[in-house]
This record gives sequence, C-alpha cells and structure tokens, in this order.
Amino acid sequence: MTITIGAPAPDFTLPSHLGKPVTLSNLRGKNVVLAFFPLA
Amino acid sequence: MDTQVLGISVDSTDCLKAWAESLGGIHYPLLSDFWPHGGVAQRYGLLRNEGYTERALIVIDKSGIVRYMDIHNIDDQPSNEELRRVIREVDPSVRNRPEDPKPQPAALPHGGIVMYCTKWCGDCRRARAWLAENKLPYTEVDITTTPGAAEQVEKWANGNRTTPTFDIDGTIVVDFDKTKLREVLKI
Repeated sequence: MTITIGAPAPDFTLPSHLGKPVTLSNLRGKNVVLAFFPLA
Repeated sequence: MDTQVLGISVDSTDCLKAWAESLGGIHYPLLSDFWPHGGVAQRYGLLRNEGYTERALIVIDKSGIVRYMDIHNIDDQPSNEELRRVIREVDPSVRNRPEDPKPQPAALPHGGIVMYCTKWCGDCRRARAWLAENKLPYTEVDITTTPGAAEQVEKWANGNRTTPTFDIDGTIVVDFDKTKLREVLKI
C-alpha cells in the first residue's frame, strides 16, 4: 500500500514520547510534517 | 508557521523517550508505531522488509491532503531548508508571510566580566579566587549546562573549549592569563 499526492492522508492515532497520543485528524488547520525515521 | 512536526518510528515510546533525552530533549512529538509493528508506516507504504521504516518526509496540508512526499537515502538527514520550502509552497498564508528570523541561541550574558567555565576545572577555581581577591564582580557561564556557551567558547578559542575564557565588555581573554586580564581590566 502506498499514498498518493493529492489524496487524503491515512488517519492514525499513535502514542507519543511526550505522553499524550496524537491523532492526525485532530491537526486539521495545521500543516503537518510527518518525518518517518528508522531509529534503534 | 502553523506547522506541526511529528516524528514516527517503529520504536517503543520508552526507547523514543531515552533517545530524545540523549539528544537533550526533542520538543515535537515522537510517535511510536510499535504495535501493530509499523502499522502506520505500512499504510503509508514506508515499512521496509527489515521491519523498520524508510527515512521519509510527508507534508500534509491544513485539510489533511498529502502534498509532498520524499523518501531519502536512509543515512541522510532531511534538511530544514527543504522542509520550509515545501511548506511555503503548500500553504499560501505561510508563503505570503516574511521569513522567520533565524532562531537565536539562548542569549549569553554580556557586559562587565563574564567568565565561561566549568564546575570542575582547576583554573576556573583559581580564577574565581583571583577575581574575589581583586574584588571584581563577574558573571559565570557554565559551558556544560548553558546552551550555545560551549560553541561560543570554541569560536573564540580556535575550536577548543578552553576554560576559563573571559568576555570583558567584548574583549575576549582565552585561558586564565593574569597578565592579559590585568591589561584588559587596567589593574
């Protein structure tokens, strides 16, 4: 599966290191930059 | 800018917390796509067979539409400049605004005698005693705890973190050089 420019971004809710879970659709009205990164 | 940055990896929140702490704190949320493992990355087409994600940037506009996507070489850090450029393209209200001024490091004190030092260095201890002996008031900046202070000292001291280093009303004295200090302080 992949995403397409111009299509709605798949929504998600994920736990955050700052404590509260973050839901993408709650951020409407802001530009959002998702930075996927491989870590450990 | 009206922009929220979210970091996403397949690591657990504990692991992300530890990593953020090791970097001195990260103020945007780092999200844990840990369970189901890489579930979100998979929906975005960014989960690799090895079980971790590509290094990718995705810009989503204010109405939730994907506007930009860039998969980087896994070893490359994405550049902030590139991100700013994309967001200015995506959001006219940002595009029409003047550029944000460059973020300034925490302001370091100026004026009078400012001594850049550490808690433990012997010369710093001797310098404190010498300043007290000469009844000279001064401000201390601990380069191990003050953001930007160590980098400032490196600039003055040819790349070395020499302590103590003094900023006396803009005149820099590197090291506890009493002769030079007397000269600058006219004592």
